[in-house]
Amino acid sequence: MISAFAAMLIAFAVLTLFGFPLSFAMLLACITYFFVAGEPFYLVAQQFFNGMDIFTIMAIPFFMLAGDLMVASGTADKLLRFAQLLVGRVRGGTGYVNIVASMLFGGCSGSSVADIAALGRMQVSMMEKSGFSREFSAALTISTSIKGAIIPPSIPIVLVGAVTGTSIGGMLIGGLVPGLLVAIAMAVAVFFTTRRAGILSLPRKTWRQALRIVLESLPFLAMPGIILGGILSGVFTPTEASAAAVGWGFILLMVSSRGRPDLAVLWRVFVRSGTLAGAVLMLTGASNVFSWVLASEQVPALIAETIFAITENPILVLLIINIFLLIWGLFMDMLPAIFIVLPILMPLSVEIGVDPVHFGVMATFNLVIGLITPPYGTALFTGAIVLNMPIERIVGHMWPFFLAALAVLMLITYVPETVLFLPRMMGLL
Amino acid sequence: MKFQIARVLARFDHAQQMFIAALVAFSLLLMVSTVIFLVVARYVFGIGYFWGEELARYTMIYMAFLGGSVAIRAEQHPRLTIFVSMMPAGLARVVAMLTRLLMAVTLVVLFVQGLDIALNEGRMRTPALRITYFWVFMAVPIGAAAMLLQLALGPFFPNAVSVNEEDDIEEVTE
Repeated sequence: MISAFAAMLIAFAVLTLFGFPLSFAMLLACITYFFVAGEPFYLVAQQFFNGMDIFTIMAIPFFMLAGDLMVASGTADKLLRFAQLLVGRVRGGTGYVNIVASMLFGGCSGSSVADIAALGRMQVSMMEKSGFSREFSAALTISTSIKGAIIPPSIPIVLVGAVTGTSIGGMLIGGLVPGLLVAIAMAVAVFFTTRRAGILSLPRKTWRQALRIVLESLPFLAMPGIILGGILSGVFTPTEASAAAVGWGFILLMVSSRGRPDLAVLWRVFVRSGTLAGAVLMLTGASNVFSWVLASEQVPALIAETIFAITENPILVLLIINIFLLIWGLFMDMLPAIFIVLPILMPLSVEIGVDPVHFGVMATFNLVIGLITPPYGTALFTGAIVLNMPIERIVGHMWPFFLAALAVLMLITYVPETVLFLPRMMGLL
Repeated sequence: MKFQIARVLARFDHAQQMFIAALVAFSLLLMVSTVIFLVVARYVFGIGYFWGEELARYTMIYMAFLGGSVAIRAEQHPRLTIFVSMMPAGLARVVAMLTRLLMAVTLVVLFVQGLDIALNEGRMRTPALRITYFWVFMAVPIGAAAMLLQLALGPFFPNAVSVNEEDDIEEVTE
C-alpha cells in the first residue's frame, strides 16, 4: 500500500512535469494526499484561503501595478536619459549607462522581466550605436535585469517573506546593498571586457540640455526615494509603501499625459496587474496548503537531518544550499523554488545560526541569478523575445556577468553584514 | 438553430470575460484607494480605521480568485513548459485536455469544500466590518465557479482580455 505522502509527491512531480499550472498542481497533490489518507479535504480549501488572507502580501499586486504605471508613463525613457547624463561620457559609457538605468528602474519596479521589457530595446540600440556588438549588448541588458528583482521594491522578496514568515521590511531593505554590489560587479566586468574594444562615448550635453534632463527625470527618480525612503525612515510599512508607489505612479501618468491618460492603457494596466497578481496570490495560497502537509510529514526536519549528516559547519551548509539553489536555477523557475523549496529550507537557517533575513535575501539572490542562467531562465527568454535574438547567440557573452553575480553571491553569503547592516541600523531586524 | 446557440454563447462568453476583468480592475482600484486612504488618515489626521485593513484584505482575496480565472483564459498561471514544448503535437493535445480535466476536478473540490466552510462556519461576524464570514469565505466557491466557467468555455471561444505586457510599451528609438 502506497503511503499518502508518496502519492502526493508522485502526483505533484507528474503534474508539474506535464506542464500543469503550479498552483493547481500543489492543490491537487494535497487533495490526493488527503484522499489516500482518508482524511477530509476541507483543510485544502481552508489552508488555501488562509495562505492568501495576509495583509502584507498586498504589496505584490501594488508593486506590480506601480511598475506598470511607471512603464506606461514613460519612465524607462526618462531614466535612461538621466543615466546617459551621469555616466555616458566615460569610455565604454553606454555599457555603464545600461547598468545605471537598470539600477534606477529596479528602484521603481520589482521584477527583472519588467526591466527587460521596458528598457531592453532602447538599451541595446543605444549600446550598438556606440560600437558594442549586438550580442554583448543583449547579454549585458539581460544580466543587469537581475537588479530589478533584488533592489527594493522586489516582488520575489515580498513573496519569500510571505511564505516563510520572515520580516518583509527587513528583507526588502536588506536587498539594497546586494543590488548595488551587483551593479558595481557588472561595471567591473564591463570595464575589463571593453578595455580594448573601440567604444565611443556619448557626446557632451550642453548645460541647458543637462538641466532639462535632470528636471524632467526628477519626478521619476522620486519613486525609488518614496519606496526606499518611506520604508527606511519607518514612515511606511512595505504594504503602505507599495500603495504610495501606486499613488505616485498614477500622478506621474496623469502628468506625463497632461491630465488625459489613455483610458484603454489604464484599463489594461489594472486588469493585467490584477490578473498576474491573482495567479501569484493563488500560488501563495496553494503553497500554504503544500507546506502545511510537508510540515506535518516532518519534511523540513528530514532535510535538516540529511544535510547535518554531511556537515554541521554553517559555512559548508550555506555552500551546499547555494549550490543546490544555483543548480535549481539552471533548470527550474524561481516561483516553484520560492513556494516549495524555501519553506523547507528556511528552518535550517535558525539551526545553523544564520539570521532569517540574511538567509532569505541570500536565497532570493540565488534564485534571481537563476532567471538569467540557461537552459531555463525567465529573464533570458524574455530578453530573447524582446530583443528578437536567439538565446544561443546571447549566452556566450554572458559569462563575465555570471561571474560578477556569483562573486556578489559569495560576498553576501559569507559577509552577512552586507545584507544586515542597513535593516539593523533602521531597527527592522 | 445550432448556429444561433453558438452565437448566443459567444456573446455570453465575451460579456462574462469583460465582467470578470472589470471586477478584477475594480477590486485592485478599491484596494489601492483604501490603503492610500488609511495612510493619509493616519499620518495627516492621526486616525486609524480598522475596517480599512479588513476591506482591502478581503477584496484582495476576491481579486486573487477572479484574477486567477482571467489568468486561466490568458494562460498566465506559472507552469513548467520545458517538457510540454518538446512533446509531439498529438501528445501535447492529449496532455492539454487532461490538464483541463484535472484542473476542473481540483476546482470542483475547492468549490464544494469552500461552500461547505462558508455555510457551516460563516455565521460569525468579522471584528471590524461586522459582515458575516459567509461573504468572506464565499470567495472560494465563487472563484472556483468563475475558473470552472473559463475552463469550460476556453476551448471554444477566443480570449477577450489581453494581458500582454508588450502592448503598452512605447517604442522609443533614440
